[in-house]
Amino acid sequence: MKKILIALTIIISFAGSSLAEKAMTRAEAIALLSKSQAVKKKESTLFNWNVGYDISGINRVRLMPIINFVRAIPKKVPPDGRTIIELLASVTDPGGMKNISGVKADLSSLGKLASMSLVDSGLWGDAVAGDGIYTLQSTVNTDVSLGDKEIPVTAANKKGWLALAKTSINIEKDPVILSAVANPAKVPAGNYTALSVRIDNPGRLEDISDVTVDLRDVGGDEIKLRMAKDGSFIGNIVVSSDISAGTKKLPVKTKNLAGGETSGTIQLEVTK
Amino acid sequence: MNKFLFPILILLLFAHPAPALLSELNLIPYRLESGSRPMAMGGAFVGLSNDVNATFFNPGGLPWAKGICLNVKDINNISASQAYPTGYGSTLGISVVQTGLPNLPVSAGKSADFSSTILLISAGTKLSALPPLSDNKIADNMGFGINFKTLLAQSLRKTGEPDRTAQGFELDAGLLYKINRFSAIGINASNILPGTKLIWDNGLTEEAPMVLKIGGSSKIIGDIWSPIYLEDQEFTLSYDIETINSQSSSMFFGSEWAYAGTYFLRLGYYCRPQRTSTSFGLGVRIEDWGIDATSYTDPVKGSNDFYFSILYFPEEWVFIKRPVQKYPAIRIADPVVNLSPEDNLITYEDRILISGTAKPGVEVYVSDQRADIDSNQNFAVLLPLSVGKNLVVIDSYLEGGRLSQERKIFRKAKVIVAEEKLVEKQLKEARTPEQKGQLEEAKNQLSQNKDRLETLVTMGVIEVSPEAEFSIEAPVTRGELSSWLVKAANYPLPRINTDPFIDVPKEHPLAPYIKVAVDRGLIKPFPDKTFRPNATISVAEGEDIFRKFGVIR
Repeated sequence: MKKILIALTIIISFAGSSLAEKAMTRAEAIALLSKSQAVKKKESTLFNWNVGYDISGINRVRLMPIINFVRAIPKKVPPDGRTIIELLASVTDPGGMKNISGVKADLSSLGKLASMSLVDSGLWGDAVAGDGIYTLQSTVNTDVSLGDKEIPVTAANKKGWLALAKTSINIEKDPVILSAVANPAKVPAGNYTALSVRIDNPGRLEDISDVTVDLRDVGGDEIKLRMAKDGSFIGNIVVSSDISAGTKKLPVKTKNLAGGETSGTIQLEVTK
Repeated sequence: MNKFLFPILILLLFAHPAPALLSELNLIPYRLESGSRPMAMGGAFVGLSNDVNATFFNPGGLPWAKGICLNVKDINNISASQAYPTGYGSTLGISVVQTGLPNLPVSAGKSADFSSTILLISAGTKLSALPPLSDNKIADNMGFGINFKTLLAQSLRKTGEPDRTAQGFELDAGLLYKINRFSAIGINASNILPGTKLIWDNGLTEEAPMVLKIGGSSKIIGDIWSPIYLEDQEFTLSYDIETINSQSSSMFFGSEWAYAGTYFLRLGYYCRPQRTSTSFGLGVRIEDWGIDATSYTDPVKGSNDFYFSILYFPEEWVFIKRPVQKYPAIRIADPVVNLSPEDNLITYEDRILISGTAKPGVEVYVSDQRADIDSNQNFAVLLPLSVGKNLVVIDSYLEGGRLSQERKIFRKAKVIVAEEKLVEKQLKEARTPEQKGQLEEAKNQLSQNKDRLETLVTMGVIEVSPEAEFSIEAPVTRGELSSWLVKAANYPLPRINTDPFIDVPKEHPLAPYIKVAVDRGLIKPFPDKTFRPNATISVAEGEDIFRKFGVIR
């Protein structure tokens, strides 16, 4: 009896479900929706090449690499063909660092090639590999004229986009005397004083070949100053006891390996 | 200016009221109505005022008006106007209106000749030009303008009476509000200065009655934003009501049909206390120039007149100046060759390769971003595409010159339909020709449905995740159908602050769509105050919904 009842229940439920209305499918709904005036109106505009293509339709997503900074060290370089310039460019990309295909610098203003690669490999002067700071070491040819020179740097990514930035360096030959003093600046004849000269040299300070002071006004000869640890050039002198009192101007001359030179004076007051 | 105002003020002090010389001839001092286009539309222009004729009807429309027009009826009736946009949402205007009405009938067989020349200085601005309202959308769609009117000359000659001349000045103020992209309302009050009179040379004065005109306009047929969209066609209706000193009132109706923005047909009708009449006009707009011709009945004399206008609206006159850098034209032909892709491309891809070969020295920018040019002068950049319409601009620069090329690229949404794989699989396994035939038919049907689906997804009516499979033969649910209908019809979505239904909390992603679909009577909720967004819809229910949506009749 139970089996019969179950069978009847199943039959009735099947019959019921077949009587129930069929559900509308998405395809049917889409077909009907496509016939509506609203969709037809949109469709006629959507497929019209003369409507809706304007400047607002331009994709504004940033696709180019980003050059955060470009730096040249040192900023002042002599055209000697031997002083090393280090060019650093910090680069990122919207697609990640692996998307960078190359960073190049145009060194034609320094007498070099117009397309030289910067590297982020940890080699060739680059400090850390893969840190996004690309490096290039170069020099300035001897035939390059003095003055400010621009160095354009480009970073390209694998999707074909290019970012452009630039830095500049000053091509200068002559050193500059920043300060030239005697300490004490007032000294009795026959006593000691210390001379100190601070110099800004294009390139490296180590490339200063000579810093000389002419001591004939205080009874001495020309002496050569030596470089101290703090980068200044120093020397001690004795003022001759037979020198008359008064203000003495001691000529200072500096020369560098690039052939640049400059001169100045150290003022010393001699008393009796 | 003081020298001009002083004698008028003296005259005002000693002036005394007298029988109105103009009103007995049904003339209104400082009346400006002019221009072929407005006259062809029956003079119903206050709520439209979208060209240089705004100076004559509603200076509130000046922020959207530019150009020069010359209107000629005959040698005695000529007007000229100029509206010059400053580039900052404001427009300045200057106009001269010369009116001549000979042989006006006066009582006892006498007649009168009237003539006047009015100079107008106009200014109109969007209210958003005021710094406190600069971000206000309503203010950006609302224009306010004024006309300062002064009589350069006015004379009245009556039979058997000495000739009379008059002088004076007046002010109009108008407002135009663009309600939406296809309709606007406007109001213009003429002669609003209190106590100012028309001063005749014999010391008599005459009131200049205030004329208040309110109007509206609707572009019934037009572009995608109009109620009815028809390609290359526009149909605009305008309607004004005018009252003079709150006593007599007049009505004005106008219509304008435009084809391809070039050819215009206009009809108008006015109903004034003196008479009612119809008007008719034609117009042509080509590049910066326009010509209008109108036949209408003069409201004062009742004569059938012909009006002719020439308009010039230079493209360089812009309403809002954009900071655009100007470049001279590039000095070499085809700075980029082999440019790919071709224009008008349809693609499913979400990115496209723009490539070409640049001539030496040429820098290439694609959509304002610079392309890397290799040693062979080739470039190839990968540009992401939005679904729908994409305009790609390729700029070539050489020695300060620029040449732009454009590529229109249409990206159609790609949808993975779940049933496709199944049909493909069944098709491979089918053995009998009957089976294969049936499955081929099913495949074709599926392809058609998929095409419709992709179009709707591209329009943004249906949302499908790019990687998700969409089962097109699955039953449609009440919730998703609500969103499709509301998105298709572009019904505005309300802010939902309370749960619309017991089973549809306000946070439900479909809550606004369901509320709109129910409020508009498209889909009924259940009597137990549930909506059951995940429930399916029967074919009968679906047909009923689409009947209400206007698809099934």
